[in-house]
Amino acid sequence: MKTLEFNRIQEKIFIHEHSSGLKVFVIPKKGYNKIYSAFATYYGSINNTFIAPDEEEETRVPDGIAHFLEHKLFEQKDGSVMDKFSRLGADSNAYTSFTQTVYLFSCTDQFNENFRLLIDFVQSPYLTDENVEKEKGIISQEIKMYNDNANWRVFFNLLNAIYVNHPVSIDIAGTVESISKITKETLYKCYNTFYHPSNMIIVTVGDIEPGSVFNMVEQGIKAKENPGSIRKTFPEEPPHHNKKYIEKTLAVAMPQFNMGIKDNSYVSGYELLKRKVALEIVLSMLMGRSSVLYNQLYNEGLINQSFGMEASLEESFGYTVWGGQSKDPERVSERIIAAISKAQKDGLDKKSFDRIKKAHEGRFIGSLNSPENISHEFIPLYFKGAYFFELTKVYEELTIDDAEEIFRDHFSIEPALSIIWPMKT
Amino acid sequence: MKREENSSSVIELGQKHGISFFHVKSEKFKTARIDIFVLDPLNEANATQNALIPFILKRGCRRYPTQQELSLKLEELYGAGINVAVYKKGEYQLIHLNAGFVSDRFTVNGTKLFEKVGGLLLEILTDPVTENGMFINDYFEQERENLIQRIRSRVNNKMYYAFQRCMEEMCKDEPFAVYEDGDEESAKALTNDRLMVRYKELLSHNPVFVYISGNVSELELRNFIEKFEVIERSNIVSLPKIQVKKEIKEVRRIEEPMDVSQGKLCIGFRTQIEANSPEYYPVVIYNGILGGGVQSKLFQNVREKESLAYSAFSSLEKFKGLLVAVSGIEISERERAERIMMEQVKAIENGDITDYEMEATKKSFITGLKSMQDSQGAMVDFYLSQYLSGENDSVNSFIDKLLAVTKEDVIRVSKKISQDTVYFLTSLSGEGERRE
Repeated sequence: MKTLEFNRIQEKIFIHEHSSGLKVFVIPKKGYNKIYSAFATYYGSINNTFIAPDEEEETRVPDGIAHFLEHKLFEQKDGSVMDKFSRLGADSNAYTSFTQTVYLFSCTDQFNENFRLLIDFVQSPYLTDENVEKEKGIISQEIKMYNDNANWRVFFNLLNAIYVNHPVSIDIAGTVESISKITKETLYKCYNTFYHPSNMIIVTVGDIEPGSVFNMVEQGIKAKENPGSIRKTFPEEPPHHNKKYIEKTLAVAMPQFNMGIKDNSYVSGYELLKRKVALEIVLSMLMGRSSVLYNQLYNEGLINQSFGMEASLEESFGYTVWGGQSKDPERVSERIIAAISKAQKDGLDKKSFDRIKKAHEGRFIGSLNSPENISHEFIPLYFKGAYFFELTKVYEELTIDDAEEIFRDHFSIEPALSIIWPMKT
Repeated sequence: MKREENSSSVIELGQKHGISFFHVKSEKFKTARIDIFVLDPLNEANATQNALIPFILKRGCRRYPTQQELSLKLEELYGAGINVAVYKKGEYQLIHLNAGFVSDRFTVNGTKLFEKVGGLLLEILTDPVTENGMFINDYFEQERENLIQRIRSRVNNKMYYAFQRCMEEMCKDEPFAVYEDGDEESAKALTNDRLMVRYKELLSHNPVFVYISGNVSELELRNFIEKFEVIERSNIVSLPKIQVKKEIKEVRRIEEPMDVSQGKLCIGFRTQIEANSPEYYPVVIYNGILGGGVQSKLFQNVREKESLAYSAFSSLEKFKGLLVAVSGIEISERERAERIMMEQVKAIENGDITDYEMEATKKSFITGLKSMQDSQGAMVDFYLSQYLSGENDSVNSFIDKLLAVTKEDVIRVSKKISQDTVYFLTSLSGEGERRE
């Protein structure tokens, strides 16, 4: 057992590695009632092409299959796993993102029973032709629900504008058409490729003794050997955007817009963490609540409280995105583009940088109250080679010169714009 | 393994001139927070004004008269956040001001954030920037426009919209039908001078609840409470009892067409049971069995068995005694979905409740209630609701009351729960495909 300590934020991580290559983490939260545990695979919606172990040919699977598999794992030979968790008083759930699939539960009692159930069901897929067909009805409704969701649509349209070939622009759940092609066989092929413990981690956050968690892992993980790396393949992605502008009409009250820029750095580990923090600070400096630009746009009635921004970096893609509601998104876009050019000419202000860095660190510390949030942030960062708590080191070390350099590099591309217009009535 | 429970507690620090102070104690969090609620009986005449006021207050106080200056100050205070919101609990409208900030053990040079942020929050409430005795006219105009957009944007979240619209239709001629943000027409008719009058009324006469959460010393608490003395208070408005019982003559059916690809079917019921009634706890369990989570009848039948929906659940409005069953379905499946949803309601009435449903539902609530104590915001909401219902249960006594509910109790209350309205959000054509 290894321990990492982060004194500034008063957090600790206990680490155990299983012989299969599985990494297990316990993050203690003294005084908390809830224990939150997640079993995650580094496999998400973007992994629709890969070379399976012991094969030479690339396999192409239908869009939405990672998410479909997530749904199906809850079904076991002897019934639904959700029912079993529910009998044990736990809330269970799962989510699929671009890069990972996460199975989780939270409970306040009977942790050991729940934890064994989590380990067991993720290792025991039960797929039949009938139960695969049945799931298509439920997932079709999920897809349709998202089709009516303007926030979701405006964002995926932006990704379509940004990326030429990368599968991140495909909806996580796929389409009603693509999921119709999913079969028991393709699901098993994906499962066998990506659900080996060497491609997975388990994270538990709560008031729990790490030794007992690690013991249960030793007893519960069936695979004993690490088969080596899985080959995930991606199409070549050019550094430029696919298109400048994309639009669509939906039943919304006011136009919604997203703007964004592709990140071509392809970094990982601590460098990734540093770049993400720098980009988020720069975004706040350019268009955050205390910026001149935000306040001008707000006072002119061009944006409202819904305006927000973030930076997202993965190993195979990355982007910054910002947006909200606006009565005139095209004018907002022009103003933001002008403000970015001006900042590139003038350089970043040291005082603002220090103040905003301190504010972001404060919000990071506040976010550590929530076990869900810790798990949610910890998992994707670990897969990318960094620890979430290392953010405290980034806040300590990041200088204005680092931020300036990252700013100039990232913002060298003109942002793409996606708009959802209201229906004309 | 028996785990020791970490139960949080609330201490009433006192009440003066209709302002009640509470301290929610806990050591484990890395933040502290202050929540101020100003309450008004929900009514059409005031609702829109009440919904606008906090957003104007948030634009600036005398010391930091612009949003930008206020944001700069908050960033210096380690990214402290000040937020405002307006919502309703039953037939009370709540104006909510909130400040959240890191605990002093994470600040540098011993900076005391509670005093600074608390003072600032109070200034925002009591000392707005004004011109000619009115709110800054630009702020008034801009925030009124934002409010109108917010009211119109209700339609953006289709599930929540349908759920709320169903309850509004049920309570058509009652105060509950007033939307928490008011209405567009009233917003357009508002004037800045009238709004200042309303603001002063709220500050002088309406009940205020203040919750302080986190590791704050007695002295800091006392100093903070003293600062409220600057507000001149008189003739405190009393909150009327909420009318829960209502006879239903016939089930109403409402259809609302919109440009959507998925329909939302909402079936509204009246529980006829008040929040402070002993029968409330069986209703909570009833709602859990019908549609509160994966073990529920709606999830199991509408979703898992029939594959009709991804979302199928029911939700309880505690103070008004409303219960709504919701599903997101193919437009063409409406009749089948309604039949299957109603079959679940009938099944409970007929006593068709398994031991598993009973046990899993209770466990799910208990897990939820214990977990709630890991969130400062959720605790404040729980204690405020308890206070307003007049029950003042601790989390543990609330849990005990739920545990004591029997199958017979659930069957008994199920017979009082009566169908009121069926609301369907449907596509423009009444068919499945959305036009492009």
